[in-house]
Amino acid sequence: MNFQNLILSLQTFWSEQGCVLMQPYDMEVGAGTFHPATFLRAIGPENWQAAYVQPCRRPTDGRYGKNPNRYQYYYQYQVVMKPSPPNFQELYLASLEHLGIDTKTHDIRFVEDNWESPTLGAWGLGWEVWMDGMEITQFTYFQQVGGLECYPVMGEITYGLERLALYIQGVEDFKDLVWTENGDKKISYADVYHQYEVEMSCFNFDLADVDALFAQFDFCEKETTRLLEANLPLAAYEFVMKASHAFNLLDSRHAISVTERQRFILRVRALSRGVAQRYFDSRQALGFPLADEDTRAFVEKELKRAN
Amino acid sequence: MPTNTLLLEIGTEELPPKSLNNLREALQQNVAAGLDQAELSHGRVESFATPRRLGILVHDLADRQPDQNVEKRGPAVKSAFDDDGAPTKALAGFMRGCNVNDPSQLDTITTKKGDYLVYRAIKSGLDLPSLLEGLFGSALTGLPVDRRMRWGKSRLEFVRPVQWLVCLYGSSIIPIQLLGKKASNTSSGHRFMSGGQFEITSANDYVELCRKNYVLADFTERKNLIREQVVKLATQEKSHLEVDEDLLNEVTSLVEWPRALAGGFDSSFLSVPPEALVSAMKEHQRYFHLMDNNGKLVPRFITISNIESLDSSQVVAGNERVIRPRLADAAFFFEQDTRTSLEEKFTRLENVVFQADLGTYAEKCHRIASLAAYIAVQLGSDNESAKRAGKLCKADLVSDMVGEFPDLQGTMGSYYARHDNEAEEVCVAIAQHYRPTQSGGILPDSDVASCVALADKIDSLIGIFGINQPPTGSRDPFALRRQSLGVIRICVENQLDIPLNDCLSEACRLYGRGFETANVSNYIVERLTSYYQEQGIPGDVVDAAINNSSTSVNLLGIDDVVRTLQSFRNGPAARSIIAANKRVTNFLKKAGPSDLASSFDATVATNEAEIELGRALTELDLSKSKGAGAKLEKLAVLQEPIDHFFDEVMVMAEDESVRKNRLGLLQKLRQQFLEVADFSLLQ
Repeated sequence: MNFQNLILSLQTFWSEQGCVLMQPYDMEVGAGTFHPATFLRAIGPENWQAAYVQPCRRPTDGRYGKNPNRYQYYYQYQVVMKPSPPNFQELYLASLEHLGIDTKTHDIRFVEDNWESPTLGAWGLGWEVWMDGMEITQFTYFQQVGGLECYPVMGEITYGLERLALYIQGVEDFKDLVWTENGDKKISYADVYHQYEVEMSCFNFDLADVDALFAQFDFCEKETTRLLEANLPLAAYEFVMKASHAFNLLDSRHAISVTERQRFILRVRALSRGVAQRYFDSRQALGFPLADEDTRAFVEKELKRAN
Repeated sequence: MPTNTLLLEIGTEELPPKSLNNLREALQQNVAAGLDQAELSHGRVESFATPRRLGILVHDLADRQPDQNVEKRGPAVKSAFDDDGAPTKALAGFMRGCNVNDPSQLDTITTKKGDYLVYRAIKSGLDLPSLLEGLFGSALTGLPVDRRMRWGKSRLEFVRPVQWLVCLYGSSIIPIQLLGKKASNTSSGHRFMSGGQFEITSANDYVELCRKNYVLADFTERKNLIREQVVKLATQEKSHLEVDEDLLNEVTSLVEWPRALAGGFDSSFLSVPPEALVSAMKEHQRYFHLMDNNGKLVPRFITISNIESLDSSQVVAGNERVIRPRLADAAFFFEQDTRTSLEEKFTRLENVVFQADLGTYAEKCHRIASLAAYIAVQLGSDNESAKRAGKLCKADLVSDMVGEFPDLQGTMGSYYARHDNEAEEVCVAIAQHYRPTQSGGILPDSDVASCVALADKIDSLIGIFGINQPPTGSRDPFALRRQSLGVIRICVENQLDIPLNDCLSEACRLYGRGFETANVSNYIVERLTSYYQEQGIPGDVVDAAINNSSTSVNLLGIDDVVRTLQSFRNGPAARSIIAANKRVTNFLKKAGPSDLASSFDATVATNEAEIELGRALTELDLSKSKGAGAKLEKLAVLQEPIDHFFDEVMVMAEDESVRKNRLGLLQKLRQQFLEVADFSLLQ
């Protein structure tokens, strides 16, 4: 199965489970979790099922295309279901079988790996899924997002598409993955991304303009605050994502000292929390239109009690 | 009363491996305690744990609580009825309390104080269905869980989402409800090898039915099986292996049906420091590493899979594919790190905070360097190397490798130091300065390393006590308890003859903030009790030895006294010294303050025994004897003159100058005893 068929196959599978198929967010993010379809939809009592591919940028993970499975730019396939269904793990395993993975041959395990994102003020409990020792998926039950308790709980599945493809295609290196075939000509992952990986590693580690990035970070922080005051949480959130990416680039340039690092993380977290609360309020003002009646009633009652 | 076997099984999504065994033990304890509290008689309680289940078997469990005779005494007969024979207020109230309508349902008892009404009944014990839900419920609430979670739309919380619940008494289902699940007799087998759900026909068959469904429910059985498989594979590989217990426990918690498999990696990776390769294999992949006859790493590993695979070569190939980039990463980090020297890394410590009120690691390292050099001078050791190692010992904290594998702090520093051509002494000291890293852990094995290890620990102790954040029973974020024990063990077991107080004063001086030594000195000395207790030496011996050194603590000196006292305390000489010391101390206590003097004038002495003791004391001169043993021997010589003195001399003489002179003699004697130890504390 080539790389793009892997994606198409997952799209079909999760579409059949009732997920809204979305497209990647058109901004730099460190993980599919940053996509508003996960981060914001995890907040409040509303139901939500979605699936999408999300290209992710992790500047510090660049290895100039030399490490067989560590890249600064790679694809995640993200599935979120809220409330998390009781057969969530089984659905996931069924998706692997749908991809042709034989679960009686491979050693597939759920290994504890709890998730915490200090910048998003979020944490959850879950696992990394191992196939023959390789982490191919992150599996998380969100407990808190943007400093707010998650209820109902959103379950999140994040497939590492390239790593999964290594298995399915039986190759050793991302570079050798077959992206697609055109007649008897094969287009490889390297054909599509190798030059980009090398150039971006140089950019991330050596050339990204540190002063401009610091200025960008400050600007994004100010802009988020201004937009939150204007009660536009979705617009404000885009600047949180931008700030977060500027921070990641500064990190890969070793431009942030260990003590400063913590301070930057807290700055982004403050912004995420602001957005989360504004988003919650704005959905409440709309009457939480996608919530089940009983859940909405419960949450409204809790809110009254707290006030 | 009929008895049978009870089974409880909680099926979950994968439980956290590091706490699985603790959860099992706690559940077993909580359930057993609950049964005892409910007075349900039972036999052995067994517990089971796999990634997807916690199980309890209670053998020979009674099917209900025993009935209880209830007897409640009511009002006296004479005050129970009014003149018309109707119940008084007192009786009416009592009857309401006993749920009785008619006084005829009550009995009468005769006591010395007269006749009383009494309510007698048999309270029948509750059966299992009415008891178990509450009993198991509180057993589960009482589990030690770091973080409970919620899932779906439920408000319930547990370690991980709950999938099924089995509760059987013999072969009947006890219809309780727990964690949102109704009990049934349907469990689930191995995720991939079994046919899925299976029925448990009888509680007694639990373990065997699990096994049929490819689940080894018993933790210890699984652990032993893994150990067997690993050892056997290592032998087949003609390699050596040290089974790491923590790793073994962890992998046991990650599988229901273990199968050990061996794989390999490219031997070119062996150029990376072996500690880094072992960390990559152990921390990230939970592999057991293998060594050759000389203890050198070989490019092979053992992994524990959770399946009897239809094609295990694919599982091996997969694992080999995973470890390669992990090792490549370790090689990458090593290469990146060696691009800059430790000296350059040191400058980056200026941005790394040691403690908010105590400044950066760069400042700490400057202090460690000076203090290590100071200690080295005391020991007559290589103070230049101690200084150099002290400065560089934390520089690896900013390396990529330590960022990825924090356990390798120190170890990586020594590799980088060697790469920079630092002196071998310096490299060793950097590697070993965190020692001992755990209770009973190995100590630094060179003098320079001991100096740096002591300096680091003393600097932390002085600083954290200095800002008034001493450890409490529950909070000790800088592990000062362990660091103090480390100071003791290094001084005593590495035989370092140094004055502790001087080192502490020097550490204070280096902070330049007016910190004081007393609290730290006391804290370290207090740790001596538990240090010696572990070696079977009782507290009174330690107290007796410590008392002698209140002004200048020398841990090695204290150790000498402790060990001497411990071997001496049961001998005949000990008894006489202790007895003599007691007599002397008692006399001195009795004497009025005006009588107390510390001098003895032989010319004032009138009695021959008195003069003899005075002479013996003058000749004693303990300062000439090295070691507590020699001093004790000398003291033992005093036994005769002391006995003679007490036989012949009336201490509390009429004449004031004679009396004072005799008390002065005893005072001198007591001081000589105290030179060695405070014998009055020996019990």
